[in-house]
Amino acid sequence: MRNIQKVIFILVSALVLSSGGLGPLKSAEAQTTQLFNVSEVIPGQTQTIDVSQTAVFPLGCQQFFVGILGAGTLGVSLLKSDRAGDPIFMVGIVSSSAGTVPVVRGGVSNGMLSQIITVGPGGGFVWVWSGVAFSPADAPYAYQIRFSLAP
Amino acid sequence: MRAFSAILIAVLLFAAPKAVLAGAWCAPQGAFYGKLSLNHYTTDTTFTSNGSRERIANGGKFYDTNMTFYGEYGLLDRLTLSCSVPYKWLQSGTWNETTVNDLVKRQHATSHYNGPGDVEAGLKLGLIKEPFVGSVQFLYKNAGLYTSHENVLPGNNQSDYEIRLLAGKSLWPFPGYCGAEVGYRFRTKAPSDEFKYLLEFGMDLFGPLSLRVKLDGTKSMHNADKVSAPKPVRSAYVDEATGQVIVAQSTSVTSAASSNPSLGLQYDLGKLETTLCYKITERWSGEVSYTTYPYGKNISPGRMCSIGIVYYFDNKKK
Repeated sequence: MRNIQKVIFILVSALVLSSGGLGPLKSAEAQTTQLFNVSEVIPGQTQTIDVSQTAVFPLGCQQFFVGILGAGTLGVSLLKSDRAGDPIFMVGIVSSSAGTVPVVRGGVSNGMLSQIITVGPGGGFVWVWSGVAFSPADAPYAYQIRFSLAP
Repeated sequence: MRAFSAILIAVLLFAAPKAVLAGAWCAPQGAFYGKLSLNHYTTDTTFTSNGSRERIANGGKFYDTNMTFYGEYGLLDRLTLSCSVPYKWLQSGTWNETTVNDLVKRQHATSHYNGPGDVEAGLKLGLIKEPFVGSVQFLYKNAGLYTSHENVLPGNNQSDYEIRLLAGKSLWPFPGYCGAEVGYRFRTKAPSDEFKYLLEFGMDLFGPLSLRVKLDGTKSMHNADKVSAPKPVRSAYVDEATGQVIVAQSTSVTSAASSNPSLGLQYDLGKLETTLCYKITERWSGEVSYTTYPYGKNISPGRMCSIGIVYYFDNKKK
């Protein structure tokens, strides 16, 4: 299991580092239009990212790589409330010493998708691919993704 | 005299099979009594340790809708086998308050259970027929069809053994009967043993209608195991407005108690059941019951409505 986590971590790191659209998100509240985004979250922090999806599904949907610097209860949520009826999704994994947990959520705006995952000692990382799957309106599509870690 | 008692029993069997078979009377050899009932129990109050009533904490409400099969079969004229199998749909809801950025939020949390409950099997042995009908019953309750990790526990999740003495008396020529029972229930895990008592009265009303009133009581023997220190239970959700993870911590004891308030470690409870029976045909009858809980301690009272269909077969009958 540990080896699988290492392999996933190396693959994801390689993907992140080799991608041209890599963008670090340092502040607790950030905006992004980039396809690949990197940030971290510490216990007690909520990382809120306002996302502008500039192209349609699937290539326009963003990927988020988040380092979890501590143990606790992680909440990953996607909120889209600017228009109703658009299918939204988030897919990915959360990996830590507590195990590797898939993130699979789908729904329709206006609304929030969320998942709670326990993160073990030593921290871990999150990879999430998310966005608007379909909309009758033209891009860009706005939504918010949040990573919150309660100690 | 023997012939007279036999006639009395035959009259009662003919007039109200449910009434006589549920009490001290044993089913004749080869006779079958089956009842399928749909019961709906609801409560939002609880009896305190001094017997007064108060609302369940956090606005809690509990619903137990169950379909229960109860059957009796006469192995011998003086030996009756019985069983009871419930299938339950439980729902338990409470309001939880959390503070986010100095704002107090109320969230309604609901838990469900959908599955079988405690299964009971019994053997009733007829002892005497004069001057009243007397029998002894051995009962075994098994909780093997669910686990202790259910969202809402349908029972205490342990086995019970019960011994019960039953007495019944026909009031002929008055078209009725009365019964009394006392028993002791041994409980294998934490809950206390229980002293059981029951008083019953039934009578024919008019035509195919009959009435039965039953006071079914439980008195705790106050020998429950001491509860060990509760394990903390963490639950969490994401606040939609802020994205923040809200972690709530509770104890397993309080969450278990709030999830099914009709269970208790040691409690006293009186149930008063009124049943109207309608004899549809020789073998089929219908029942409507309403149960209240007039007194008790450390357990939830409530209200229960039931409808049931009864089938009785006796191969000695033409």
